[in-house]
Amino acid sequence: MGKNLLFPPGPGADPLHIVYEEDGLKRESSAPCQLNCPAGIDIPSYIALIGRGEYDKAIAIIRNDNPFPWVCGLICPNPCEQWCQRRYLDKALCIKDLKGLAARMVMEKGTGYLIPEPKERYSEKVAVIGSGPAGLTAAYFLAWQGYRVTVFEAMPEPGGLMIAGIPEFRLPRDFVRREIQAIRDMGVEIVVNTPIGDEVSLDELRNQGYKAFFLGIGAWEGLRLGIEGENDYPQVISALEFLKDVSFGKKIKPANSVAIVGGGNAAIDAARTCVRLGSQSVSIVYRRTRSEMPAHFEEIIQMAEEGIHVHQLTIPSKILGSYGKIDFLECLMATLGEPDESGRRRPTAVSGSEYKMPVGAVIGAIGQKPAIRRYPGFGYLDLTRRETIRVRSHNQQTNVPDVFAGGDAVTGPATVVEAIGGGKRAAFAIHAFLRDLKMPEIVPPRPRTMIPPIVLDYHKKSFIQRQEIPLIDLDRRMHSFDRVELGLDEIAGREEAKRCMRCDICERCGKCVEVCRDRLGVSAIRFFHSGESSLILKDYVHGLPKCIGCGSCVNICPTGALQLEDRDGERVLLMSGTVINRIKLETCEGCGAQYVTKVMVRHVEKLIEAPEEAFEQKLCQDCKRISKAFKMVGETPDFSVQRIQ
Amino acid sequence: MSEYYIYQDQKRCIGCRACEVHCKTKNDVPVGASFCKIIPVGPKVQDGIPRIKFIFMPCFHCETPWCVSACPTGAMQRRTEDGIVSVDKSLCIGCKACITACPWGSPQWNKETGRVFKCDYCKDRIDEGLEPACVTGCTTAALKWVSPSESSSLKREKFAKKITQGAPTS
Repeated sequence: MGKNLLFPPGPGADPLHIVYEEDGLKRESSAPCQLNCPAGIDIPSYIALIGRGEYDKAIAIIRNDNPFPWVCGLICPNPCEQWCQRRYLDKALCIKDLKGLAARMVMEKGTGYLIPEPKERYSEKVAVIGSGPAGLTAAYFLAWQGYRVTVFEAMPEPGGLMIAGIPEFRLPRDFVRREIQAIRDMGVEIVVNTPIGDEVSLDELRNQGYKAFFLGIGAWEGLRLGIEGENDYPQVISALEFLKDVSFGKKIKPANSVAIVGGGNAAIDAARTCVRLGSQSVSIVYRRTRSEMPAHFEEIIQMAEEGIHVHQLTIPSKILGSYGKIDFLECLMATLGEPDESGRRRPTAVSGSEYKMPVGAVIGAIGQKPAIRRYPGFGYLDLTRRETIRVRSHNQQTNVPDVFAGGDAVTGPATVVEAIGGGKRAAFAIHAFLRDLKMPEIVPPRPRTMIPPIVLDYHKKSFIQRQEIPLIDLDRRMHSFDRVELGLDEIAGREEAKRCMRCDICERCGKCVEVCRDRLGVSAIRFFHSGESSLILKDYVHGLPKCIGCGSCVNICPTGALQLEDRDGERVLLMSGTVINRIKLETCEGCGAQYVTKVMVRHVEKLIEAPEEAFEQKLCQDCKRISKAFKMVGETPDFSVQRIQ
Repeated sequence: MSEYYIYQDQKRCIGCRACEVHCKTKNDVPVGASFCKIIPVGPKVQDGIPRIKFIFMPCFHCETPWCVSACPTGAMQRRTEDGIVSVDKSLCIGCKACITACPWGSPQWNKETGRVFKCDYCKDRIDEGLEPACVTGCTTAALKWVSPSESSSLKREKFAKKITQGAPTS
């Protein structure tokens, strides 16, 4: 406590309320975006750095927790934005695109990523199986710890879903390759075309001297549709297989008319890829409604723009065809019943509502599972009901002590950022395992640093709108694999960064409100409930018209988010870097010091009901004493010579 | 006015500020603030001789203290039995309304705790039957602690007269 010079807590604050570590940073981050980031990135700090134009430092902060800022800047489903407190004022920040901007500025205009030096050098070798986001993240953090890491990849190119799954129009391959190169530069060896578990088993690697293993093998096996005719036609393909083929150059359209079964991101990616490959009619068959689709909101919008039709409340029941080719997909209509265990309403088929949809190919995208069964070498691993690898959630350790796992192989089909989080946890657990340390516990993310906020006035801050992300022309989108979302440019990014409310400084404890409303009786500073348990200062638009500038809130503030400064004849009240009020100061007639706000004097006058002449002369407390002393002996006060301390 | 009064014999006071030092030590007052203060008036040439007066300015513990009316939380309190005005630390929120209200400049700001504190006539010492630190520490016995038994209204009049006599006539 007290070492954080940037935000010293108020003198009246309770020191036990917020715990600071020795480095002067909070023990636990208070920013909802950071707390909800699966990788635990210190979002407010890097946004502030982007606002200052210090992209190198921003990337360095992101790469403390996430080796793929550029990939995440393009395709992260941004759970952070869903928790952004700014959305209770207007809209959330474009956190994802800010990250992308920083990465682009460093990679394209700057010097590239800074390759961190290992903290130590250890002799142990660690094998990472699978070079998806989880595996590469684990490799990155292990190499940073100082281990010799070898990554084994079954496919001809490392990257997992980032290379072979997510279509190019969302994630250009060049960006992925450059970020993977940055991991290679740390000394990580990546061996491609080498599947482990089938011919080469883990035991063989153990004999080669590998001391610990990380399995990031992903979930590549598409779930079967389980309908009649599924196995009879070659045009029934799984979404991931299809996307993989397209990614590796087999850009052939499945048919002129394609039906994609499912409502997740894989389904939409497959559908949009079909459009780009030239399919005339692409439709998504989904058994619930559009609002229940698990895919990202933006993707659903963009998909609709590209002319993909969604057959809602439709359950495929049969695939019909002739001469080895599909002619129809027979479907049933459905209604939504009671919510199931996932909280979504369960669809029930309406009997007798069968109809035939003329299609040439069916792409199944109803989920995937890890292809563990295909690799007998992993047979001794404990699996869950969904055939994913069972791990301890806080350290990613499987039932075999030296084998750790993460990514889709553990979570089932999920997101890149969740895989990164899993890889990071596993890397620290492997370090603890190899060094015989205590296994890491679940710890909430900590702030990585404390960056001074960008000082702005409340009205300016509240009127900056969320930046629109420019998209390329629709016509070009439908015919090429060019990147759809162009991201923020530098100017827009700087503006966007200014919108951040810096929840890492203010904890929204409401002590200032309590003191101002309940004890002072002024009710100037007001927080409103936002969401379920959080508070937000909503007076950004109006400032604090009732404020008398007494500073009680600053006194009580336990985080130092509220600050008071007297400058240029004004008392300025700052909250997390935003000027929320400016009040004119009174000047002492004796010494010329600006000692109290004008409203404060009026406020006190009203309270004590003193005769008016009592406050005619404006004097600070020291000059009042001098004036009274002189008057007691009948002299005219002389303020100039009396300032002996 | 409280039932106590610190009478200053200005003829005896030499402005050594021992009262301020004793006050600071006893009440643990940090740099910048001072509960009582010696204000030098002068020097002025009187009958060919330079004269200086030292006025002792503690809190006078008013009968109807404005600081008490201004305090929003009731931290500033006037003790009913003897009229001593003091701050309850646990209630003070540091709004400085009392500082703005007091015409004598008595309440002081404690930067370290973020609260107001002020002269309470060393009420803990008084309750023990002692005199305030400034009176005890006065080197020339210029300060006198006048308790209710000694101070009659007549005596007060006399003090007032003395003050006016001490003022320069020419």
